[in-house]
Amino acid sequence: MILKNRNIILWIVLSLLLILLFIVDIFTGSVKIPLDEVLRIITGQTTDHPEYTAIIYRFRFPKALTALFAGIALSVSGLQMQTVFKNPLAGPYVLGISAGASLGVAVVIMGISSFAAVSQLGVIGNWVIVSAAWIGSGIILFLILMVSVRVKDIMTILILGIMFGSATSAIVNILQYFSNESMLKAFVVWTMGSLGGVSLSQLKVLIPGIILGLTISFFSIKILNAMLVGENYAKSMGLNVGLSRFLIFFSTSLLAGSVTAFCGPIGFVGIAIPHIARMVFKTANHQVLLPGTLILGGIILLFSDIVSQIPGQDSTLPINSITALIGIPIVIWIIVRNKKLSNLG
Amino acid sequence: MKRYNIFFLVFLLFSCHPAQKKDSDEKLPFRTIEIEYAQGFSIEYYDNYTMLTISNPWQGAKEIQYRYALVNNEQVPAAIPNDAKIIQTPLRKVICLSTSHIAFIDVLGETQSIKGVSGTKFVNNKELLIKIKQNKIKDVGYENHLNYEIITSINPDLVITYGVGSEVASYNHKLNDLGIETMIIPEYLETHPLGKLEWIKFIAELYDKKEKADEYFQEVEKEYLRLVEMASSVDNQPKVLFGLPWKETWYVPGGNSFLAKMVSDAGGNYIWNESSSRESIPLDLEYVFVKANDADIWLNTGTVKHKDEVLKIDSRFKDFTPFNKGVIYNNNMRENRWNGNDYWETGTVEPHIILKDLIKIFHPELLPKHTLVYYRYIDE
Amino acid sequence: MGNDENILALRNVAIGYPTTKRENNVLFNNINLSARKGELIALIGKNGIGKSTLLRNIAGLQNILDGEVLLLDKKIQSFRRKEFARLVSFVSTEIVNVSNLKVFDLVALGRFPHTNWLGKLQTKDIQQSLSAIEMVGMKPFVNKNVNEISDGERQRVMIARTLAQDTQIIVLDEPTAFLDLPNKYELIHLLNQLSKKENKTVFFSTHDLNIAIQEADKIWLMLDDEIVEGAPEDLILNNILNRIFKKSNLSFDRVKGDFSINRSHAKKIGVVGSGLSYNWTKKALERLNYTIDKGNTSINHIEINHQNNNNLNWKFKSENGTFVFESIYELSLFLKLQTK
Repeated sequence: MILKNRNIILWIVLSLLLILLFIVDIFTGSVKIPLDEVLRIITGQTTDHPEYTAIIYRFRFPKALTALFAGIALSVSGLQMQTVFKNPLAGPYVLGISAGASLGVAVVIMGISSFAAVSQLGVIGNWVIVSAAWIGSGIILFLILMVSVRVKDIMTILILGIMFGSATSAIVNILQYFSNESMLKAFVVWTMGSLGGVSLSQLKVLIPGIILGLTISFFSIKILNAMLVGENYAKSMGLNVGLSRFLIFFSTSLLAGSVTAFCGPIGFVGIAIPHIARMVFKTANHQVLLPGTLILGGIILLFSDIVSQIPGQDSTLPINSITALIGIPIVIWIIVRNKKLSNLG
Repeated sequence: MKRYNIFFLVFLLFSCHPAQKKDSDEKLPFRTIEIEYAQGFSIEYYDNYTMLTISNPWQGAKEIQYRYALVNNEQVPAAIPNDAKIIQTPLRKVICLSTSHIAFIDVLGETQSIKGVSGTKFVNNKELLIKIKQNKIKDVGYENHLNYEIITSINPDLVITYGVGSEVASYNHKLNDLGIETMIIPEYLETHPLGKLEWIKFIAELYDKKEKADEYFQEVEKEYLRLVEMASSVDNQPKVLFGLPWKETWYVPGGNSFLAKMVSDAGGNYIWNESSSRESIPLDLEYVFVKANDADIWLNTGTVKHKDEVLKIDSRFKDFTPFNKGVIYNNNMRENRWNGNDYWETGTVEPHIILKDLIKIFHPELLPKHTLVYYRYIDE
Repeated sequence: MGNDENILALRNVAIGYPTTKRENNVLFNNINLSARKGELIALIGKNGIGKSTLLRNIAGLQNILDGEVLLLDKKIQSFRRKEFARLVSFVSTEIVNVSNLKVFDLVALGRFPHTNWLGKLQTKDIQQSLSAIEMVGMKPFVNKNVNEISDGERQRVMIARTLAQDTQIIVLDEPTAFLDLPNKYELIHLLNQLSKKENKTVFFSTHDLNIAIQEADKIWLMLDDEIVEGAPEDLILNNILNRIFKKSNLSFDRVKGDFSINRSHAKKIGVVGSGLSYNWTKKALERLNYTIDKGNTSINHIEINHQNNNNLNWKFKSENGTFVFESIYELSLFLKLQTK
């Protein structure tokens, strides 16, 4: 069938593109390392420049991995949210996950420093921030799960998720209001997202979390397909709606929550990529759409990371701005080309 | 004073920005003093009043001036230019929004004039701490949410403020609207350590304590220059790195900054010497890792007190040579229990002591008997 | 009439919906109804009487308030979800509008309770789906996108989905709602064929009473206070069907098998004619509130004439004279003027 051939070619092209972007991302950075050195180091050959090896292994490689996995996690969780809520504007943060993480981080950076005897706490290390973000989003997830079991209508859950998000944002605003400049700046910088701050040891926690989330997603492909026709029909075909919601929300929280905990909130990827995938693969079937979204997510975020390092010799642009600048034109183009964006698939 | 309050309100109505620099049209005779290091202020002595001028009191300010005409109680105000605010000296009640200003006032022996402070938790001055405990000194809140009611009830002669950006001007206006006089004292913008200290001469005018200030300044200047001379005699200059990254960005002081100057005065070699920036430069983490890999001394590492805390910030530091082999010192030796760092308070008026600390760190053989005052050695 | 012949039975069932945590709005109680294999059952009743609620209860989408619903002699609550989904399928009026979803894919979703965890379609699943599509006459649309076809076509696709689900019972809520007249008949006729050929029990609700009477084996008539079941003809002969419209101006003509609005017939008019033209002329005159007296020429009357060229004309004869009209429409315009 022509369709099958088209898909095979598509997959080959996308896979090659992904690998290419991964290598280019490792190549890009503020210290200029010649391409042949990069390739030599990646392929495990010896080199005269141990400092290059150090940079690539300690900085570039973790960063590229982070970009890859974060892109995967955010796009897949975005797809799930769009299907479950039958809303093309839904994204991974629609359950309030990013807001919860912000709250956790805000409390640690701005709240505790203001009120507690800081000297007892010592330095606010990276893991403290990560844990705070996780706990914050975990609390919101818990609230959502409690609600989703009792509430029948999925739209109600969407609205509640957004409301929880607004409530936590309000509290964060209060904390911001009372904090001094350095704390404020530290928090604001966190909200801009950062892929390069994740070390290999942190990746050892981040990647398994994402893989676990992805595993649940893969097992939920059938559920997601059933939900295309709405929860009522899905129920009539034998779907356990309560359990399904639980699984999908849990998986989303693992995917989006882990990324947000380690990298801060990274926007737009989760909303735009599923639409690109639908357009590219021309299907609503999650058997194709899920892996398709996955690979496109990796591609786009690697690309964004590369772009964010272009301008300055010495410093990078915040990743959130780049994903927005890339994502917005894409979504506008999709909307204009295919006016039936409102019909989810 | 009331006449001038109304005038100021009217003046504010017509000008939303502070006084522009204008050609001096005063034909009255005056003399000035020479200010050797500081660039942010000037003092002119007229017959009946003293004119203080502050220039560009925040980062990025251009051609902005604030002028104050100091009038002694016994004198009668003469023809004072319109843009200058009139202040009666000596000050009896003052509110300080920065602990550095407390240190200045302490040297002048006028701490009893301090009635309010922003962030009483962070004060180190022992006298003031007692008074704070007795609630004789109030906490007036921070920056954008000052407690205007408390400030009004104190009814100070002056509120001494500071700020990092131009938003400073907004809460100054607000206080002025309430009829309270404000003054931005931006000593921290000076890039020369003695320039920072020289502001004591400025503040002394508010208290009619010129002589005390001159005396103190000359003493410290003498000692400071002696130390610089001593440090310049040594050949090897250790490479110095400052600060900590936040995630993947590391803000390092520019080559023309205060810290850079102190390093060179202490006989050290600041890695980013060639930059001409006075402010901090944001750099990529990996770039700093490479460029600063041969730093001998690593200073001012945030709130760190032990080496393992550095790893908590980023575990990759374990491969960073300055962490492994180099030597780390942090300027948080003198802190109160709320992490109020005396480096920023008393350190402002003791640049010679800070310099001594740095020389001790860079060239210990030069000062065998000196123990570190503001800096602490970061060990395991 | 033994119980084991019934595939579905409702015993003392109460249906309704909760208004608050503790209170329920009971629409009906003590419902006792049954359905056998291979029956086509139509639910008829006024708007808002509870047709949807009853259907949803049977389909397991809503909980009954009291009593028990027995499927194959087991309470429906005792079935596991998947098991139940292999026995009962459901079509509602909910519109499914998903882009990039092909007709085949949508129909294949009906195989949900039969496929494995990934939802992979085996040969049997594909065949079932294709034959379901053919059964509803949508074969030329197999590869079209679901949001590019008309509402009526989409409705048929949804029904194909239930056929692919391959259940013994199919429940449809107002399946004829979006269809034009020919399609309405075709659809219900299709359901009729399904029940006969595949021995499926099909429940559907509709407002198209004529079609229901014509095609359904049984009608569940939802009146104000009780639900009566029976063959359409039994309900008509026993004058039960009429009770739906007790409070309205409608009445059921048991001779014609037709509903008509009660009119106050004031004037009498005679009509001379026969056959088709007589019948339709009579209908038009009744619409104008006339009572027809066949053959009576002593009062104002109308004569229907066949002319040579097979055209008809109508002659109205009264004491004021004779008037000729070429169409019923012109005749009726004239008569309307008369009464003013």
